[in-house]
Amino acid sequence: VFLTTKSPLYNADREVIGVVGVARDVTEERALRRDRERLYQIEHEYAATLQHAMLGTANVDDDRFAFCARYHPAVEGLTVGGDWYDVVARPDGAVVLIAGDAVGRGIGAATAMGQLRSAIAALVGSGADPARALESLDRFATTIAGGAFATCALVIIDAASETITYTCAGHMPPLIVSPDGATKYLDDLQDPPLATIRRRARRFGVHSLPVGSTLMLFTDGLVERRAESIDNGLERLARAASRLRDLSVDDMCDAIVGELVETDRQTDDVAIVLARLLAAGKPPDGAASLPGLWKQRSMRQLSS
Amino acid sequence: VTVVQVEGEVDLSTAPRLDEALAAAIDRRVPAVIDLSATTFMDSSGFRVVHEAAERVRLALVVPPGSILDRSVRLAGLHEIVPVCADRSGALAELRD
Repeated sequence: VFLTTKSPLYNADREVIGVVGVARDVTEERALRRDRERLYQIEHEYAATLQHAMLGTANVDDDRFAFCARYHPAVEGLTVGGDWYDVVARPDGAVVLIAGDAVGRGIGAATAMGQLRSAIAALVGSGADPARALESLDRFATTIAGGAFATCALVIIDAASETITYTCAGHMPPLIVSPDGATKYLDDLQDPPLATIRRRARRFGVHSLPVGSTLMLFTDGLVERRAESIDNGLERLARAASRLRDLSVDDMCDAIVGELVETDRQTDDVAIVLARLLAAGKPPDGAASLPGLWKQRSMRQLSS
Repeated sequence: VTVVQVEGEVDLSTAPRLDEALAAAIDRRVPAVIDLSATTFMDSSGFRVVHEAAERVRLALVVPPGSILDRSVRLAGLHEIVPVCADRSGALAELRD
């Protein structure tokens, strides 16, 4: 491949008497540029795939619930930040809602977030006591860079008894929106963040969640604004959630984010996850397909 | 006792200054009062600094009831670790015990 430039050659009377041409071999140059572009593309895909894998999901297939989550990282160029949310279906039919926030911003906070998210999702797999799960996460958090001082709220929803069990490590308190519009923050048991000194064991509380109620977990970016008490932000959220409670969870999520997040001035990550209890009772057959498989497998192991 | 008066906003960019102020108390191994009554904003990066300091030195916070940081301090679980007092004399008394 040649890159050529040509220009006319004049004599003293400004008459064209010829053409001067320069040809440069740019084969190698072009090939290098193509390689660079391809490498950039590959790296971009790797980064996107890794970031995507770090995020939680609200795609739990269970007819008794409607779930929805929204995620808005504050740092340009990243699709993840220190905030996280997750919805985990347990083998016993309970569903766990989680929101958390690793310290700092950017890729450092995001890598800690990804590890904490995976760890707690695995730790809440069984048992009724979410405080013990957070204490296990405390120990794990001390072993990873950026793990300490992360905050986390964790709520186990038992649809059969229409009750929730909640625990909170320095995180924004869960919000319950009743079908009649009443709102309640579960803020009576605020324990310190992860991997910090504590004077006592982590605590958990139990609260009712009647059918039709919406449970909301979120991170501080949704309610925190400068020069005002966090109370104002929490009130703003409770009022909006109460007013928007009859919308689908997706529309409710979008409307809340639209009203509360000042996108042009967003300096902190925002994560929000909603669960609405549509029906009480045991999980429908097949809803918890993976745990069902475990049961079959362990039965086979027992019988063999 | 070291008294650290925190005015204005504590966020990711200003938290290191609070950290420095507290480092002096930690180095000298003297208890510290962190007076937050004139603080207009503190986010998780600020709370982190206080939590970290609390692991190394005796602390007491001054957060008047109903002040702008009152609720945030409790939501962050700081009251579970450090005494939270309504005024400076209360905080000093807390550290004298």
